[in-house]
Amino acid sequence: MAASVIVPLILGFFFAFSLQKAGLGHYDKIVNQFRFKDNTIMKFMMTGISVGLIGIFTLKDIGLLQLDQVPSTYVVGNLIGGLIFGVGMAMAGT
Amino acid sequence: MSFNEIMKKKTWSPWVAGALLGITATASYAIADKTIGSSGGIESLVSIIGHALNLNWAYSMYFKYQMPPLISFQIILFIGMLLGSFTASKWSKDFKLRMVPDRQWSETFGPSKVKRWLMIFVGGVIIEYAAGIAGGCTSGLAISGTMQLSPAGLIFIIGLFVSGIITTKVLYGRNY
Repeated sequence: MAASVIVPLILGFFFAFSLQKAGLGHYDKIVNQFRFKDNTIMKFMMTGISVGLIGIFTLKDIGLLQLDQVPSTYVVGNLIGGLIFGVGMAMAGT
Repeated sequence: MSFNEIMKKKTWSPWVAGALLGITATASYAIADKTIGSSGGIESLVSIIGHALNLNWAYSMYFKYQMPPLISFQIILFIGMLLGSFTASKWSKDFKLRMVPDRQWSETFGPSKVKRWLMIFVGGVIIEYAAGIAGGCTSGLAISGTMQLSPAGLIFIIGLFVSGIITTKVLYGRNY
């Protein structure tokens, strides 16, 4: 019980901490990526994905975790969802 | 540089912050067997509210089985996220209650608070609706999905950037 509360608390802490330190709490950062004036989001996201990719697949290969959380791919849904999502993201800047 | 000085910096290099994100995501997978995300937690919250108010739609298949009214992993993650972003911004003195974002917003759209609040509200509704269609948001699908080499994440990123660029272009007009 205690672990199921404390673990997500700590994970959430570092997750939002990294977002804040990358400057993603600011409207300008988000919108200026779409204006090609500031590549922070791209750098941040791609580094995060690369590090996570190495971490997850290393742990998988030495047998410490199973890849059982892979989001299912349904091309039309993912693409249309993404297209609508971008509209909201550009409007809100979040 | 001392720990305190590092914490006082408003922003870190995106490479360093990104590495911290990757480590957190890996830890989440290894320890909790869950991926980091945010849009799902909001749906769980909505489900809890719907059930508490005894509304009809709360008993639909979706909110009964897909998003049951439970204090999920992601809701507790939210509390951690509030603490994390508060610590980061308060320590670096970046924390400020803003009615309208600094400079760029008012230079482009004028000083109106109503306009900003309306746009962030409508934008937020669109974001959550789209996340429901796509199966995740920027963190849950684009970042957590792609780091597991799921095509869903990459397709989502493509869609997000295409429409994000077009929407910004339309909103900014000549100022783009």
